[in-house]
Amino acid sequence: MANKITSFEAETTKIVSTFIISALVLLLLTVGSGLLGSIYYSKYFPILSSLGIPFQTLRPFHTVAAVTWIYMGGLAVVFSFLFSQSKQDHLKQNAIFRRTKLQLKIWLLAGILAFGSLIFQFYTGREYIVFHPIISILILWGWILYARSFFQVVGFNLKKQPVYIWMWMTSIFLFIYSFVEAHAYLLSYFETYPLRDIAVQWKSYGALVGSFNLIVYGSLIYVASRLTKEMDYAYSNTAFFLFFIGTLNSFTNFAHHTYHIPQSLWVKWIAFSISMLEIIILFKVLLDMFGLKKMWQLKERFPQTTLLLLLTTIWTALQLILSLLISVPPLNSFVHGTLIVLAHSMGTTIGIDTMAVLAGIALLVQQHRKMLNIPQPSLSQTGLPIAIFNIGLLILWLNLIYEGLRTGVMLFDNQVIPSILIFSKYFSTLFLMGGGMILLGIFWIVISWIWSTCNKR
Amino acid sequence: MNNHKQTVPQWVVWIFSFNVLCFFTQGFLVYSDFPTPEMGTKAQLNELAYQGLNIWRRENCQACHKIHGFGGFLGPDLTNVTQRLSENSLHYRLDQRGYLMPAFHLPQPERLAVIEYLKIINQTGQGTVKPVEGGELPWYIYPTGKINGQ
Repeated sequence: MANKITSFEAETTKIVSTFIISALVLLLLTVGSGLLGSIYYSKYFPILSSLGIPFQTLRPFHTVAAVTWIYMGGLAVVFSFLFSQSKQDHLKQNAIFRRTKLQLKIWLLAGILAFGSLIFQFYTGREYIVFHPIISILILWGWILYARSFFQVVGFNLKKQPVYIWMWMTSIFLFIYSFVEAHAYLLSYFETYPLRDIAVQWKSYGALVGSFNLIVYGSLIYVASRLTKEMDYAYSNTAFFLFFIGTLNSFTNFAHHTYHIPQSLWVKWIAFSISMLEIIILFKVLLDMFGLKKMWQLKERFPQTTLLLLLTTIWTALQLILSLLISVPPLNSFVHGTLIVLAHSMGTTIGIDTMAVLAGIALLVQQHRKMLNIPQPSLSQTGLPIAIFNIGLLILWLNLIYEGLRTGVMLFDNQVIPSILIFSKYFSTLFLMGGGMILLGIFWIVISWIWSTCNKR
Repeated sequence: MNNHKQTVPQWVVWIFSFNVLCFFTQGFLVYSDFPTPEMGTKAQLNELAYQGLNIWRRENCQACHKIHGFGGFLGPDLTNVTQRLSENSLHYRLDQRGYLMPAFHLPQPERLAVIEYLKIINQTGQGTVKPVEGGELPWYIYPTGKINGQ
């Protein structure tokens, strides 16, 4: 017998589905543009050049799509929570529905303009915010609408709120502040002094990454609480202590990227000291790995979510080890400007953020299937694409680390300049292989989800 | 809104406030280059270099090249390229194609502007850390940007 779906549930499903589908489309654009960009690291790059697909467009397309996918996917989980909390108050609920629809329309317009400007090769030449500041205003407007909805549901009294609310709240303020700060280059005080501009760029982009990490980690804890039906961890001293360490890192440790440039010593020592606090997070993650066996017992009821959460934990441990090592100044100087930095950034955004957001979306998709009485796939049916995705990521990550170390050694032996011309002969093959497997695995997962999310009956 | 009976530990509010204080303190240090403001103002773009910066942005050079480690990995770090390559070489690369670098065919005034920009960037410091004499690994580099205290 079909479940009777209320109008509240229909509206919620529609909006959350829009977030999910947008996020998944962005994910496909990310991996697609990433794979195309990786062709430039191989001998086949003339094919793309002759087709008029320059790397100057592919790289920003890939980075903008990647960052936006993580935000949209994380916000799908946040909005699912907000709607569930506003169920009893119809007036509030309708206001939030209207506001969220406006927010989505504004962001859709911003997305079309941003990607369109990249395709037509209008760049600002910045690292992530490669589009015109007018488009940034649209993005900011959407965030202010989101902030309004968030606080309308959650309120401002946080004393009774679990840690994930604190994380989501912090991400709002951190994003808005850092997004505005990332446009400091429009002021001549920063623009005409290159060192100051570089320092502010690293600071603002580091904080923006911290902002989406907070959304993702908050969503992870929320999803885990839903799976286990236990709220104790979300209120525990441990959770809040790790939140303290995480936010302090998000706020201040960006300067571990700029040890070598002439800059205030205080900034560097603060960044170094706080980066090393992540050792505490690493110990906690390693302890969590002993609890994975208990989490694995949930695999019959939540196959995809459980598997993805498990993999997120493993990748978090690996990425923390790498990031701690490269934050140590002597090692940092050794790998500075090499592909180990790319291994770090891609390893974290794919291995941790993407994996965690996929876990959250898997839970939402499973709820949606249950609501429509669509049978849930088993682990054996869903495990293969996830395995392909992770094996591809491992190949990519190890390949980048090896190549970065190799370049670092050559830099100090021969004083070479790190560039593609000194890469090993297997680098491009492994790079393409890893990227191709990631694309295949993700495409398989995403298409099955979009199919079930769009399925009305 | 949450019916859970638990509450947040009291110290959380204080620690969170401390974090926010650190955030704004770090921001102040970065914006003002405190306590050594002369570091941040070490190199300033003149008019020609500013035009070069605009061309750098227009062509999105940062997609492939890094300045002080910030940018893409396809091409080399250009922080100190004016030390490595002659002006003629730079003019050639900005006009004709390199191995992967497309042929931008920049007119001479634009090439001069970009080169001026790169000269100013060169004054800001080393983009990649050089080894000390004898090729030793710099185990004694502290986060000062100096090698061996120099």
